[in-house]
Amino acid sequence: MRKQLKNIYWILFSALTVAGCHKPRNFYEDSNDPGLSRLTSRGYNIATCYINNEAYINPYRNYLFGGANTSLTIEKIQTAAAKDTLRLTWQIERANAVYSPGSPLSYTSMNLFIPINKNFSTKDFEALAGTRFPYDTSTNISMKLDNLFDTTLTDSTSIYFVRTAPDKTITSQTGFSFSGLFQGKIGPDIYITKGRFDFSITEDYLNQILR
Amino acid sequence: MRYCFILVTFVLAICCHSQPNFTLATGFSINGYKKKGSDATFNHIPVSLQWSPFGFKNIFLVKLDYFIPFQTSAFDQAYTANTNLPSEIQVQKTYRANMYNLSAGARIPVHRYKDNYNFYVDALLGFVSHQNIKVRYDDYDKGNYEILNQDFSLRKTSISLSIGAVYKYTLPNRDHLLFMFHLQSPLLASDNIHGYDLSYTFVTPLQLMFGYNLVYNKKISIK
Repeated sequence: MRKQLKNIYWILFSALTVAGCHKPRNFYEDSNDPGLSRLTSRGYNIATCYINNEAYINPYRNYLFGGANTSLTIEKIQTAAAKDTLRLTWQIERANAVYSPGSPLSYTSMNLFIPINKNFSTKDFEALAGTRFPYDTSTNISMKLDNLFDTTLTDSTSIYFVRTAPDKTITSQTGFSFSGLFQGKIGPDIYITKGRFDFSITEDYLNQILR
Repeated sequence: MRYCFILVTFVLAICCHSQPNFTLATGFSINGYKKKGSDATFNHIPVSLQWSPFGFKNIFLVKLDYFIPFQTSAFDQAYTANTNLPSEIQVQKTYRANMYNLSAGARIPVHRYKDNYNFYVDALLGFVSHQNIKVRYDDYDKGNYEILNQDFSLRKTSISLSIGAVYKYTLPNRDHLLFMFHLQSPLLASDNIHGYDLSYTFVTPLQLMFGYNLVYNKKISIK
């Protein structure tokens, strides 16, 4: 009986420990922009924006042993042109997840495309801090929204990489947070406004993508 | 909260049959600990009402403090993706840290000179502190600019500890002047808001004060 109780205590202890491994939502509402998170540079892995005045956010996923905000995916697209393309992608969903019949389909992912040099490195990525790409076609910055059935591409967009900073939450390897603002217009009637992101990545991951 | 402190003091005064021994003190207080990278400096004028209900012969002490805050200011950066505007601007923010303390403990005599205990050590172990730190930003273009890592007001009540040193000087009329130095520990409470870090933390005052001690019924309570 005593041995059984001891086993139960260990199971409960392990379950509580593992349950505590979930990461917080890190959503801190901006009082000036309801439904959007504040602009931060703390590696919160949070990205929000308005799409036609409706708030969108990257989802929070609950897993068997904890949960976390869905994070960013970075891809280097090699091209035959003078420059390659850096693609930043994250999932999005309506901040208010209530679906009303007749409302337009929710968008499912946000993609930012940035032209980069052929030898673009991790150091170059960190050096993006403080760079604002203007809202015109000369930079070839673009944005893409996906939903279940369609993708839409901007003619031009504006992205501002506000800051990159060492991320103290990553302890096992060198990591940094990078945060910024974005906005764009797709076609005649889709407006992406007040976009802001605060992501955390490791140097190892970035080196792997950019090699 | 301030009314609770006043009420508690009033009730204790009524119930106590001994001769109250009051000290009214003021001085200057600076912040003993500042968060790394923070621009917030919290200085105050403390006003302290101290009560030794059993006279200087007994070490028990009750202390009620209010800290009159000096307003302090700092700057945050705000950014915009709108390329028709400057990429970043500075936005001024101001802090006002209101604070109330209610504490009880001991005023322990440590040195005696000519039949009067001159030096004391204060050990205030039953200590409740209420801090209300208000942050206010000046007007800026909220439609276009976003402040990075914006600060917010913080209001908490928690426990703390304080120690201090006191020098007592006896006046010809048998009242006393007190010169005091007190240190207060940080509040035993989290200084973030639901996990959101602020650029500042709670006030941990270092107080230098002088006070006038009024002895009630000087015929009996001298030492």
